[in-house]
Amino acid sequence: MNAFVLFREYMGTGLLLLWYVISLCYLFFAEKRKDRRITFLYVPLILLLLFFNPLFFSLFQKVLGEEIFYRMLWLLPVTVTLAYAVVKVCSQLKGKTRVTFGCAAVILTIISGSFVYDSPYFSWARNVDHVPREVAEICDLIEIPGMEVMAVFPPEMLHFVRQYTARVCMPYGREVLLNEFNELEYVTHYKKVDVAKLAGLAKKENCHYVILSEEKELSESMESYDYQLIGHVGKYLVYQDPTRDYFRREE
Amino acid sequence: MIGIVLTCILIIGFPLAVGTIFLPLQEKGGRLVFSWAFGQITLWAGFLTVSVPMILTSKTYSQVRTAYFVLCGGLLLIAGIAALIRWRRKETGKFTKPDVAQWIRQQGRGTMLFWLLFLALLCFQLFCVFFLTYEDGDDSYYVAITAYCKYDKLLYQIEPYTGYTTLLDVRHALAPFPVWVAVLAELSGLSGAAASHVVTSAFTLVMAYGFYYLIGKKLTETGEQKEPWKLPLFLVICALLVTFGGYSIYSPEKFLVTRAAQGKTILANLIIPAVVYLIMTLMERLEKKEKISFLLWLSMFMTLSAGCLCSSLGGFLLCILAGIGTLCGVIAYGRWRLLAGACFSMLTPAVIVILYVILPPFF
Repeated sequence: MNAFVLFREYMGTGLLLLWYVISLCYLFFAEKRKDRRITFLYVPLILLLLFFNPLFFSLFQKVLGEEIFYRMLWLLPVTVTLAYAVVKVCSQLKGKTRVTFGCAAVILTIISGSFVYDSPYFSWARNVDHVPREVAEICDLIEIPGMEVMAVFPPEMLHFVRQYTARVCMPYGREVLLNEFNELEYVTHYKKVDVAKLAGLAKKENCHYVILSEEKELSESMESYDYQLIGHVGKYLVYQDPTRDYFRREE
Repeated sequence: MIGIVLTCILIIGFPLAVGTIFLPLQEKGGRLVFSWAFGQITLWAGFLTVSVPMILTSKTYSQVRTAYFVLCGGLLLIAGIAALIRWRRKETGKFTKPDVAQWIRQQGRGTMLFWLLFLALLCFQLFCVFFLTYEDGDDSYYVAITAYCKYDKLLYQIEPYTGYTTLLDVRHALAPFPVWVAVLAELSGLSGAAASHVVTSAFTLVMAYGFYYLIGKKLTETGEQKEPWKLPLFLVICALLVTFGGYSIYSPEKFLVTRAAQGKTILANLIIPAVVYLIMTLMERLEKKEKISFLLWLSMFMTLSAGCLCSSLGGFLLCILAGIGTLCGVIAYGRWRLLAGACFSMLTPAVIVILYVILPPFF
């Protein structure tokens, strides 16, 4: 990856970049105040030169990594420049032309961007903590006041458990979703679960609870490995291993 | 109820009072927003200076929180003394009581329409902060840190994803913004998750518009003849760019809507605009051939320090921006002494960078 690819990704559809460049060109000719020319023209220009400088890119890449290099572009005051250019053009127009340009600018802003809430990752909040209802209910069920417990959770819940409560610990967390291998997660990952293997690994990690989706096909019953079903939350079954010692007492 | 009052004191009252230190920098309107925004930035800078040494020396959350409250008290005292000195010298600017009815009459129908449109967009975004949730993977790191502070743990010595104890995570410990959110959570009586996803997100969103307002006010109301429709139109365009900022997963606007409680969002949407605002103020004063006061460099110092609290990359990025801005000022106006001010403002990022380099082998 190089700076040009990152720039293209940063600008997404590219239309707002186009408006930004047009705004810069407009301000280059229309802005007479030196102080504003420095802030909105010269500083961004130098920043862009720095961004596309291969020497700076390779230095940044070596020290901080290339995946966050796009944050250099946060230093460009894109939103402010666009809004200022629109206001400045409007102020130089009069009567109906001004209204027409103002409306056109609003419409262009809407169609050039993308409605930010139109994302599959947005959903209605189910509680004040903004975590899925099942996660909150399972954590409430397994939490023990003054103690920390260890629990195996399905992958879709890993993001939320420790946001909701720090009293519930997990043998693996979000890192497995970022392609880090964990044998215990691997066992529960597929539809068919080898219970003997799962129980062996969970006991080795001193897990008090195992939470499994009821859609999983178990090779044998969890009860045959000392587990007790203590709850059924949504589509999830909560098993407790009463033979485990408590993980850690709160300090 | 007490939680709400304490939260308001922490995120509105304290910043408003502390921000009065910098009020001489703000000549005309917008003094309330300016005071609030730069007061909060000063408090964040203060939080960085007390929390980082304590985290590195293995202090617990409650010790950091207590030190922060002592610091808040100290800053309030300094603000009080500064206000007293200005009052004795008769330098105090006036907080005139706003006459809303007269203000509405002055605006005209078209301008009011823009103001209403802007308020509608802001209310819509706030509604979404309260009632929509966004699944972001990074929250499982930052919010988990906020959550474990509740149990008074050693900070940054617990693996947030799992809860296992670990060696000090130096990189994240040098930018402990989630710990500040934990203070907010404790005072509000909310859980770490609620304080992050709701209170901090709403606060960030409103303050981001505070900075757009300050920048917009400077751009639309200085020098030229005042035309009241300019500022609300500016804000409407900004709000639309935020609402329709989903064109890229990397844009600051997308971050503001989807992960407003994370330090990097505060950096992109509050701290960087604050530096832009200060550069605008600096250039304006250079243009008018005015003396550059120490307060301007002090506010730049505070802003750059606050940037270090928000993100491990913050200090570096802000030094680039402030450095280029100052160099342009030096070249354009031939004022070499500006370099000394810029160097002073970059002290905290320099110390943080040194710590990044020298500390890891020890942990």
